[in-house]
Amino acid sequence: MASPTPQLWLLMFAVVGVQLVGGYSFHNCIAEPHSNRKSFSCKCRRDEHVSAIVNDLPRSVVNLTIIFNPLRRIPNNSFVHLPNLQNLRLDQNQLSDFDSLAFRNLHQLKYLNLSFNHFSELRASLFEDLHNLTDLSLANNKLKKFPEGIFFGVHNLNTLLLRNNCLINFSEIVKSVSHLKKLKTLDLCSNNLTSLHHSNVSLPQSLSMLFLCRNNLHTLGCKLSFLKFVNLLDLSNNLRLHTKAFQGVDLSSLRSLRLKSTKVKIAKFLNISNINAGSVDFSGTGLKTPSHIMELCKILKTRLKRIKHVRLHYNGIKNLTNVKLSHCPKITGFLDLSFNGLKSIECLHFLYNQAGITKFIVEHNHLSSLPYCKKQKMFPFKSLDELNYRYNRIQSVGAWAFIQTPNIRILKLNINTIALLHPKAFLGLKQLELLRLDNNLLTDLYQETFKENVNLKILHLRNNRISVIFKGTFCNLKNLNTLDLGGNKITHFQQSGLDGLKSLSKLYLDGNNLKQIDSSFYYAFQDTLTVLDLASNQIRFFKEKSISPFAKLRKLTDLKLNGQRNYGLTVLPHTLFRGLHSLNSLYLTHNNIVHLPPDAFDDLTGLRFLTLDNCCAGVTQLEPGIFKNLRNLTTLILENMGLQNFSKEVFGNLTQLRVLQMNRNVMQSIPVDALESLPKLNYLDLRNIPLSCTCQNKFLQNYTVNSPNVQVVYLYNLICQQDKRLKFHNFDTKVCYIDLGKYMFFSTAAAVFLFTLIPLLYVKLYWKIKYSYYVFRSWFSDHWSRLREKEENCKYDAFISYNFSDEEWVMNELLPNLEGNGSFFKLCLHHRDFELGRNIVDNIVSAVYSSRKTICVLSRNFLRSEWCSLEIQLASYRLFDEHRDVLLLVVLEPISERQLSSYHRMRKVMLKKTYLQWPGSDCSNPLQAQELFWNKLRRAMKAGSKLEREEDDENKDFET
Amino acid sequence: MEETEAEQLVEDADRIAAPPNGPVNELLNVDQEDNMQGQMEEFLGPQAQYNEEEEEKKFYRRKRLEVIKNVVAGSFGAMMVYSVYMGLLQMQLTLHYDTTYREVKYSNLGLEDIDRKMLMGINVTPIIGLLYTPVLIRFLGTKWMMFLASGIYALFVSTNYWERYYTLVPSAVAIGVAIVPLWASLGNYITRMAQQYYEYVNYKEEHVQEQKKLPKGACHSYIIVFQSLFFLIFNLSFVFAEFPMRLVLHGYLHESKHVLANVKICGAAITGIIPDFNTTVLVNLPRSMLLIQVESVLMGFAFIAMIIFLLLCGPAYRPTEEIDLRSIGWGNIFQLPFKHLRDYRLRLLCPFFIYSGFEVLFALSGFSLSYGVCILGLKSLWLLIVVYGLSCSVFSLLALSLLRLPRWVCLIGGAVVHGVLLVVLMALTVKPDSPQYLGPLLVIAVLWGLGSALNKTGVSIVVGMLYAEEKERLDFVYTIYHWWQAIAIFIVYLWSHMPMRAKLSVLLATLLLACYCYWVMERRVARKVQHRLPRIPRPRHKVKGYRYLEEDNSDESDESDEEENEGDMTEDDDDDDDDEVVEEMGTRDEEEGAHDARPEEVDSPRARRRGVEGQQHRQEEEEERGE
Repeated sequence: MASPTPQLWLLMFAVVGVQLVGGYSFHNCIAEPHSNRKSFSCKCRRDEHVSAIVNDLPRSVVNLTIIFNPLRRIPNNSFVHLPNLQNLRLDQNQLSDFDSLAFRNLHQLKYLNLSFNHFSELRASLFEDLHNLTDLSLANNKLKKFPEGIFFGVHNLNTLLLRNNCLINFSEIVKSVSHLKKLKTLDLCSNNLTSLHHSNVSLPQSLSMLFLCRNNLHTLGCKLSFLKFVNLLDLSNNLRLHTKAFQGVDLSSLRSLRLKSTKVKIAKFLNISNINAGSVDFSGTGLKTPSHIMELCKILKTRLKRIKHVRLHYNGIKNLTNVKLSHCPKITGFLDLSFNGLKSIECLHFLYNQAGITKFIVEHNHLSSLPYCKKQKMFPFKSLDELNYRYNRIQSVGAWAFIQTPNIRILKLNINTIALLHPKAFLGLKQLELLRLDNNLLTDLYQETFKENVNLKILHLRNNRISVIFKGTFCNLKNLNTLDLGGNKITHFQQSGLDGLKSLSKLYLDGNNLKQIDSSFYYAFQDTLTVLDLASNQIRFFKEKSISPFAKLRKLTDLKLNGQRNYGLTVLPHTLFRGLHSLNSLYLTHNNIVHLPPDAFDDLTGLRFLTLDNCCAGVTQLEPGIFKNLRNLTTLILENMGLQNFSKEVFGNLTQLRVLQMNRNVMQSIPVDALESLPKLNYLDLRNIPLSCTCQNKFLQNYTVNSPNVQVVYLYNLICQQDKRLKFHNFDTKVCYIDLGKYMFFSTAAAVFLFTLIPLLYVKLYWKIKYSYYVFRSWFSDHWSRLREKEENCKYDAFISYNFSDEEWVMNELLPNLEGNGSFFKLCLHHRDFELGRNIVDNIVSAVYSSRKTICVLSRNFLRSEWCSLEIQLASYRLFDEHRDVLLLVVLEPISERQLSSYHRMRKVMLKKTYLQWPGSDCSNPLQAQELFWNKLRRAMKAGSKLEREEDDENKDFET
Repeated sequence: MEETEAEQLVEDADRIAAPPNGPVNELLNVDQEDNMQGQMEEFLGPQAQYNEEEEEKKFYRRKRLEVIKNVVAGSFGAMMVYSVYMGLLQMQLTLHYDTTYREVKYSNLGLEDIDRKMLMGINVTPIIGLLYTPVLIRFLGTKWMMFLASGIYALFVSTNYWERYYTLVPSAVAIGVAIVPLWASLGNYITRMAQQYYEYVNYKEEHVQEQKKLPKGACHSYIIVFQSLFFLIFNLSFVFAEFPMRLVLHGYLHESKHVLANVKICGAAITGIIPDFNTTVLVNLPRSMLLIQVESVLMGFAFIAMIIFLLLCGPAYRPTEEIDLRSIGWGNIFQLPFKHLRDYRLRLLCPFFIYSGFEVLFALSGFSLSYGVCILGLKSLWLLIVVYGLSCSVFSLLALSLLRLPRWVCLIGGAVVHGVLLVVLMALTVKPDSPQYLGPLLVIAVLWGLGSALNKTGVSIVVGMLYAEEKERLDFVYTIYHWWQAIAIFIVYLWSHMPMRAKLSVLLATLLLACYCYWVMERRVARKVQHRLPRIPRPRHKVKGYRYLEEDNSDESDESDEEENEGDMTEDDDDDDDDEVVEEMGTRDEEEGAHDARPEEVDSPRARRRGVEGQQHRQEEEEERGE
């Protein structure tokens, strides 16, 4: 019994081990780049089985998002290997069924989102293990009911969203949630509940927010104290809900009750209910006419002295001319009149006497102008803090339009059609901090416009029609730190147009028509600017200029130059980014840059984020060293740049790089050493690169599959270029032992070559080789004996071999010069020293062998003579016999090479230029030449058996 | 005329004078180059029991055995070289045909293109074979030519380890260069062995001892036996060539259903090799380690073949003969193959030479692919070729029947078989993937093998018999034979995209023409019509020795070396151009009258030219005498 267990353990270790050493890429999920393998998202995959999606995820997963997948069913134990999971999103799939143990082992799970699926029912034990679940969303499914004990294990549930289902039976819901002691929010909107009828269980006391909107409630039908603990109750859009339904229901603890689009008569309701009238939301309760409002005010006044917020959405209020809110209780919070049909607010006339109001909101109405308000009798709203006129149709804002609200800090006029903004419109608003004028039709800003708004911090002017910034427009905005001028038509700034913005840190100028970057405007805020957005302008450089407009922006951290319209930047001046040492992120996408100069990014030492997505025109060649100073870069996006190769020279220095996106490029192979030179890399996107499944990429395959730190996005879906059915991660590399084949080729080819040639050469050149060998040995032994200083014993120094016709020369020239005249060589002459009576051949042999040298006096006659030939022969036999070369050739008369027979020329080839030429009478200085000749000869004779090379310059004179 | 005769006399006198008379000396002469040891033993051995007759008989028996060993070794060497070469080529072409293999292993290398270039190199280069083959053979000697060619084949195997444009294509061209010389020297070698065998059998005959021309027809039977033996062994190469395919690649090949998925029709109706053959034939790719192992095994066999040629094949000619062979001047050697084409016997055999090239290539490509693979799938290819090879090999023995029957039987028999088969094949159109045709196809393969065997042995035997007596023409004749065969192979290479019926028709037409021409030839030979044979010039030997200063021989080559020649012969001033002028002297020409006058005519140009043209011939290298 004991034996199988260790084996099982071993097996498990093996499995875990495999998991650990295996690569860090996932079939269907992407690990968020900086999440340290904690967050994964698996979006838009084609797999229908959740196991295919989650099986290869590591245990460390905390956040997991699985959305937009065609999943239908989650089988048992699907997430059992992810015990640390805390957030799980399974929404937007097509799930219709869970096996009952689908979420087994997810004890840490806190947030579970199952919305937008096709569930119609759930199994009872589904959430059994989710002890720590706090948020559960089941919205937008087709649930009709769910089993009673379904939430039995989830004690910590805080929020339960059941919006947009088909639930009918409220009492079942109550039954199943009644024990959830921590439940705070229950959303049951858009179901088919008809009543709140329930059996004798009650809602948990902790439940404070209950949403029941868009149901078919016509009656509450609940116990009187049922809603005792609820703070927020949303009953809106229950079209059949009557006032009567609230009869006797305890609503005393409610802080907010929404009754929009019900049949509740608000006056009657307030009368019959014990609700705190201030907590009712009066939106959509049919308070159409001023008289309705006045009536409400009266009723409220009877109950309350002051009311905090009044919200009157969707009441169809057309005008407020006759409304006097002075009858209402004092409003201390906001008054919200959004979603009505107001055409005018008449200088807040109707608010007379409501001086305590802090916030006034009129969004989504039909306001068409904010007129001049100074002339009328003023009722100053000193406490009003915020004015909100968004989403109206305001065309003009008159002078002094806000004179009665001098203390507002926030003014929102965005999303209107303001074309006429009176230069004096904002006068008096000294406290203004946030002014939103974006999405209007403003064309001009005047010097006066913001003259008094000295406290303005944020100014939004995005999406207007401003084309010029006039001189001094912002000169008083000393405190402005964000200026948003994006989406205008600014073509230029007047001189000192941006002066006065002393503390500006964020400047958005994107989407304008700027044609160049003029550094002179930035001097006012060059020490404070951190964000500069110049995207989508018309900046274009035609030729390489050395301009560096950003050189003084020392604090700039964000610079966007992406998407210059029409033609892009075209040329990127190599000095453009000079001085931006603190820049953090740089956007250069969509710019049609022709060439990225290799020193363009040299100064960006602090850069962390660089996107060059689609930045370039056509195929880009990244030059080596372009990223050499970007040592802090962590994210590099190189999508769609037409990169053809990826090399270590280019990417070698990016030691901090963690995220590298290279999808949609055109390289066919990626050298692994370049990737390995990025030590921190952990996210690599290679999608849509035509990687070829060839032996070239053998190492890349190995790297991507096995690298433990680098996640290759959707590695297992990368396909082979040549055959779409093959996958990159497992193409057959079995055939890739190219190197071995190469070595085998070289070795066998050399072997075959030698094996063929050596026998052939042996057969064909045997004698030549053998002769060379003897010559070599003689040369060698010669040197050897000289090294050992061995003196040889010879009878004569030299045997002179000559033809009798040259006897005269021998006797007259040679003999005196060698035997007399200061030198004491002993010569052997045949007529003098040959033994008498001996065979002439023997004589020759003994002469040759008893002399150290044999000097052959070559002449035509000599060569013709048989005996002389024999003497040469014998002398050269000593070469073979004793491995000594004793022959010295003296050529008496010029003999043309053609006349020499093969043997002699053979010698000549072998012993190149070892002969001495007797200077004839035709040379310039015969006496001197002869002197030299004798010296040479003596030297040659003395030099043991050494072969003398007579190649001195002087000697050349004597050779014909 | 008189002068040549005079020279002849001198030469003969030399030859006879140099060694003392008697068979023992002949024996000595023979023995010199081979086993000095044996000679010494014989020389030193006790003379008492020395039975000259007996020893001589023993010696020649040993010699005969040596000849047989040479033939068998040569055949085995050639068989191995071709097994390795064809096996490797087939394996590589199959692998390279597969798209996946190509893509994965070599991506953009264009391996298919390289294969095409490689085949082109192998098939096109032999066309110029006629120019250099005899020069090469005579320079190296027959045995060494075979050795060199086997080395080139081994080099080809070696380059397949590392398939690149610059390895495969040069080695393929080298093979193309070596094909004709290899086959010419093989044919020469086998025929020569027959002559030697005859000499060793009839060592007592006078013409043998005097190294005269053999009597007509004397060694025909040996030629028949040796050629049959050669082809018996050589044709086994088809069998062994299939080993890599069967043992290694077989498991990786797709079933016929896959490879023939798009093929619509097979056999006589198709155009090209196999139209719409699937581009992937491998189920999965073989490990490259496996391929390297296979190649290493093949490499080993190639080495063994080289060693066989080197060690087991004795020389075809004695050194003196070899020196004579190449001493006729390189210009002559270059011209003589062309001159031999004037011989009507060779001319009339040319169609048969061509056909014999056609048929073997057709069996290996046309039949086995367009019929075999197309009908049965790639997995049956090996079976067809093995059966073909076995039948070739076995039926080569049928040629032995020529010992009794007239020589035309063999050739015509093969032609009849092939003729019938061609007609059958022309009618055979089958649906692809029909395994039920395995039987008929095997029968066709066997019969085609029978025809091939008869054809190959027949042609070789006929050529051998026609020139049986002339040992110094054999290489020219075989060069012509194999050159025509190479031309035929080139044509087959060119026509691969033609309709099958056109190919078959060409084959049939060639066959009929060949038969007719052969019949005409035999008729003429029977009527003893004189054929024109170029005169082989007498060998010229250089004199070298004591004489260091040569008086007037200025056209000496540079590369001669010293040499002690006892003979001290008079200088032989025969120039090559003399032979050019005095051509076809040896043949019994019809126009004898015209030729009688010529020697006188040529005397004067010879004298005139000596001074002028001597310089040009300096380059003509003279080889040293290899002793």
